[in-house]
Amino acid sequence: MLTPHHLTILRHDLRTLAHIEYEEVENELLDHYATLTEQKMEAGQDFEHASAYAWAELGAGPGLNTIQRDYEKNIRKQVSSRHLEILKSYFRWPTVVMTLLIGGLVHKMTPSIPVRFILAGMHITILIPFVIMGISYLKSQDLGNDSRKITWTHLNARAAFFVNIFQASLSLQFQGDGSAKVLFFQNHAAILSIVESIVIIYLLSFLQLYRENFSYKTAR
Amino acid sequence: MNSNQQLLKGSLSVIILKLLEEQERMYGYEITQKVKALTAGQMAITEGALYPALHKLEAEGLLTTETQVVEGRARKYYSLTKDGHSEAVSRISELGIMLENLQRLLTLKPAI
Repeated sequence: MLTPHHLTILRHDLRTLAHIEYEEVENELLDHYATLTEQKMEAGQDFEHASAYAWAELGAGPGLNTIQRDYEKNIRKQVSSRHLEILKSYFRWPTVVMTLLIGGLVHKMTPSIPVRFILAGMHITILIPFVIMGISYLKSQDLGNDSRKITWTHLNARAAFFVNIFQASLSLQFQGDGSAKVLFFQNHAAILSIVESIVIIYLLSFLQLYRENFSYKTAR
Repeated sequence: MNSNQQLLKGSLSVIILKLLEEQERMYGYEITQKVKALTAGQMAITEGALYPALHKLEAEGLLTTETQVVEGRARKYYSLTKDGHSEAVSRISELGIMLENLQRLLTLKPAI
């Protein structure tokens, strides 16, 4: 049986030579590495030789790191597939109808509301995705070395892509005069509110996904 | 990679499911040793193939895990879920049919 000191040495190998970061992978590989080492020691080898043979048998650093990369890929795949499920559950007909109703309502009401209020409203709604993204960014910073940071970072990158598309649509300039400008303004406000609703629902799906707590734990 | 290992890699998930059907729970090292023992050393599962396969089966919901501290270190045991049991039956039967067909093809006598 290996002593705690032996286990510390083997753990150190996994962290420094194979760059194993996640607790779950590390524990599993440590058990395998330790069992192989014990087996060699039972055959008469000393700890140093036994662990060197066991290390080579395990595939050494690059081989073990491949296991970790595969593990990461697997988790990301799980996150993406769960996210798709959440999105499907969000974007059902009541959401679609509600979103279209919001757009219709904004379209109808825009001419009767003073322009400065509409512009103020637009600026506030534009800020909502930024606030949600900001919260998620701060959360990822708070997590320090916690592995959930990886899930957050992964999700943040995906969310940023869609938020950027939304932000790009805001650079449209109003053209024309009089009623043409009002109509364009009206349509722009309606489309903006529909897209905004979709972006907010999309970002909320990330929050739900994160709350589900994927079992990603770092080794250190 | 020799041909034995290539064949083994293709059917690794079925082998894992079959072993776990026979034995309620197993850990990684134990699986590699069991395969080696059952095939008299003719087949060996590498760790680089075993753990990704185990993690994939776990992600698919076919395996469940429990961790126990053994001799000062955490040991992760894998066992079949309810879905895993039915999937094991179906995959084993599929592989069996494929092997039968393969056997027929390999023993085909040349036409006179």
